[in-house]
Amino acid sequence: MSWTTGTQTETLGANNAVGAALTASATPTVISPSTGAAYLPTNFFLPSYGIGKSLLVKASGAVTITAANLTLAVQASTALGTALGSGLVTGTTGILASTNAVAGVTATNAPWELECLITCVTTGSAATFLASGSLKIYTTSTTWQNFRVGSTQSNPNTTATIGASGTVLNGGYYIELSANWSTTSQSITCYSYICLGLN
Amino acid sequence: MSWTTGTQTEALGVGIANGSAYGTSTTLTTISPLTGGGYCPANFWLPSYGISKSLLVKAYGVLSTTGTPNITMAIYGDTAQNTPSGTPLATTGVVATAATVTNVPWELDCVISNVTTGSSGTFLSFGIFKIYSSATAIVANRISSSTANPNTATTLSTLSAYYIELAATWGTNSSSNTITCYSYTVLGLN
Repeated sequence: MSWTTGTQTETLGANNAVGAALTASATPTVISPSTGAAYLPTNFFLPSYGIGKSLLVKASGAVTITAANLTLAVQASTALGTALGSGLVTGTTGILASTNAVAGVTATNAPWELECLITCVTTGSAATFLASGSLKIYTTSTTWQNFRVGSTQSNPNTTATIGASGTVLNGGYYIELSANWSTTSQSITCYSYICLGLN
Repeated sequence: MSWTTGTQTEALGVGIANGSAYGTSTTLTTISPLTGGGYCPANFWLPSYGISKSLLVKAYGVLSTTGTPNITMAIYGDTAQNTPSGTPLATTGVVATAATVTNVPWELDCVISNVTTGSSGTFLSFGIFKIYSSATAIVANRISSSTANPNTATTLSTLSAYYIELAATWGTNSSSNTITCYSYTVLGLN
């Protein structure tokens, strides 16, 4: 460690159990394990040091898709294990980053991995975050599909606002991964989940 | 840093040299560099703080093949350096590599989390081992504590000290089947 920045990386969350399989829900549902979930206390992003403060979320697991759309999101919720809103699209309060509805994937127990960097841009009651990363689904050992995970799907990327509706106001947040399906008889399970506070 | 958790991430091992090229063999062999390899002292996973204490292993290198040989990649907790044996913390199992390639890049990324401590300690591990057989093609396989779905834990006593090392086993003995680890790091996440 150089102490160039006076900061250091900290693991805010690391699972010690496999998450529950999400098989059918069209309602957003948290899929990252609750035990070991990352938690950010109130004013984690202080006005003094919050800007540029970043999280790195890494998650992986297995997915079975026959014919369905899948949406994954990294969310900041004040309640553990509680998915936010009626959808996971960016713009939903508390959604830091999301995929679009992932379509056209067919896989059986295929490994997937998600990695997303989330950076605070402005602090306060309507704080903003830039988030960008990717979701990769390895449909076979030689084929994969890659999907953008972002604070928006815009180009250039723009920020997601947390707290604008008043439901998440400078509060403590659980940083979790949530998902939903468009149809039943699918399955996604999170086997590994970590959230690093980078600085 | 928030000190929310009272922990910090630490690089337990960083390779400072290329690992030895492994080929012309089907014997389980350590491929991560020995100098700068990751080391966890005995009771690194204490009963008080061990559960969820996690490692992130990242490794990169190149690989060459003739035909489509099988390979097994595995992360071991070795009580003596360069002595992989027993049950690994994570393994790909036997998987097919890329066919007839020369010095193509590969990468491995795996999170290893303690579930229970003690003489029958258990660990959940999951990650991906990727071989970039060309600029547009990939061979990807899970590397994990089990092949089950959902994943299950593997057993390793937390009472001993371990070198955290990456090992490989070729399925076919050929001088054209080689794998070398160029970069290796073990992060103690918390």
